[in-house]
Amino acid sequence: MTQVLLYDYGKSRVTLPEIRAAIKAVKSSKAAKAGSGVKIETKGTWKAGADRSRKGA
Amino acid sequence: MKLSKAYSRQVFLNCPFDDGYRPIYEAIIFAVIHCGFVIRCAREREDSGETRISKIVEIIRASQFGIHDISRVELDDANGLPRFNMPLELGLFLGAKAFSSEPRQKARRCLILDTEPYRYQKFISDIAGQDIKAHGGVPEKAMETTRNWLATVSKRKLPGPGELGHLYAEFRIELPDILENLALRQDEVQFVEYVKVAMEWLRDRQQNA
Repeated sequence: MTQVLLYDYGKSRVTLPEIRAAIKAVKSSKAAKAGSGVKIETKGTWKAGADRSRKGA
Repeated sequence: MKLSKAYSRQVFLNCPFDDGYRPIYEAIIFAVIHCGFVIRCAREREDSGETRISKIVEIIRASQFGIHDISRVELDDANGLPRFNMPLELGLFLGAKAFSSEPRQKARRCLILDTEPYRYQKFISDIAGQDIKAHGGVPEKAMETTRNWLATVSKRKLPGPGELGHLYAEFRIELPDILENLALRQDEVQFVEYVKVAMEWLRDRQQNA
């Protein structure tokens, strides 16, 4: 993978520590479910090609 | 001529911001970040003390690369008029290259996107001869086109389109839960918030690869 370049975009409603914690929580939950054999259910049902951009879509 | 690292890594994104375009806009942003570039956009800061055009000029000056999507040619539902912001910003980008005496400004490269191939000839024929690609309204196509173009113009070794597509699919599945943890709604996420989430998600993925 290519190194992700950091850039300071300034303030936003969410801070970087909050974003990191949110990502970590999702990863941990996913790993815990995978380890316990529980079927992983996410809110995302994204499939390649499912989204098509059009006005008013 | 040696270009500064900051300049040669910045990509100005000039595209529609309506909800219908959001899937393409988010896919292009992810591709640019994943390829190791910095995405710049007029939406990156909201400063009421700064005019929009001066902000755009500053971003264009700082970016060697530009991605311009001119596909939104339909009339606005609310007022029955077309949007001219994208062609205007494309003109500024091309003008910066043409009129500046600075060598680095001459090194600019741009990718022009439309929905269908050759359709641009009917509404902006003066740009014939530029690198114009069609994405067909499909985010994965826009993402792959962006990646391939960046690989060509930057002459850098970039991750392949297969890896990019795989990672993006994984990111899209986790994104709703990440945004929920941040108390953000997917349809109201701002440019900077989306960029920061994508950037941190990719960094986390790299660190744990």
